[in-house]
Amino acid sequence: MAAADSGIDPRYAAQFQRGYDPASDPAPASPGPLRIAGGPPPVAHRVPDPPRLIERLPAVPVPVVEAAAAEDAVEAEDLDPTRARPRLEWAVLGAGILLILLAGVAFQKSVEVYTGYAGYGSSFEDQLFSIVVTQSAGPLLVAGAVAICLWIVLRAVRAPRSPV
Amino acid sequence: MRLRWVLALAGLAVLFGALAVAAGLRYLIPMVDPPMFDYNDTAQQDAITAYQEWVSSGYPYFELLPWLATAALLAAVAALALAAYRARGRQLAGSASATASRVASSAASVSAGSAESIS
Repeated sequence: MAAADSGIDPRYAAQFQRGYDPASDPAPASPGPLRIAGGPPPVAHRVPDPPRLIERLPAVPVPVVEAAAAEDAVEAEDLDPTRARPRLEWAVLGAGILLILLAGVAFQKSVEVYTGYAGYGSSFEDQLFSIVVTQSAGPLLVAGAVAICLWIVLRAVRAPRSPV
Repeated sequence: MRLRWVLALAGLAVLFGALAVAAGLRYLIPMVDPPMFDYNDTAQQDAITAYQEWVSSGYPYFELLPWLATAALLAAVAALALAAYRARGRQLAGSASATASRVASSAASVSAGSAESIS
């Protein structure tokens, strides 16, 4: 800038003043765009630079993570419908069969009690025993049947699905 | 779910029902057309005793009959419930597969239309 180079404020340069005559007054030294000395203007970075890559650390086994993974595996086994508590199901079946057998024994004893004219015996223990065996066969039978039905339903519901 | 579980429960119901019928017949048969005995005849004392034991031993079967019927009823109800559960599961599986096939066919048609428009 000629005005800047001349050391005055460009607003007060002669060509911007009232009554300025370019024919009589000398033209400015460089009317076009000026090239600023000292190299290209600084360029502002609009997009910030990406962060520097951090080197990946070598994998070190952590005990806590292993324990959590083991717990997850145990939970996954518990959630598996085919492996969850199989012993309980077989215990239900065993209890049902045992109850049926007890009902059979009680029924056989009750038949013996009814066949004899004087009952199973005259003492208090014998009378109590005869009452127990004659009255417990039916409930034991129903309890065993319920247990077996429950076992079948559990096996059917918890078994993996099949097309047939 | 396999059909054999339903059949097992149904078989259990039939078994207990048959036992109940047999118990009822065991109680009733000795009372049908009872023999006439001469209680003064000592030669018939053994036959009288045997018949009375046969009749009295049938009473436990009569007492067990309602319990057997209850067990048969429970097994039948369990079989029906399991059959209904199985039918519902098969129905849901069928509707799910139909929906999946519809989605797959619609996705295939969309992809085919996109390929035609691109070409």
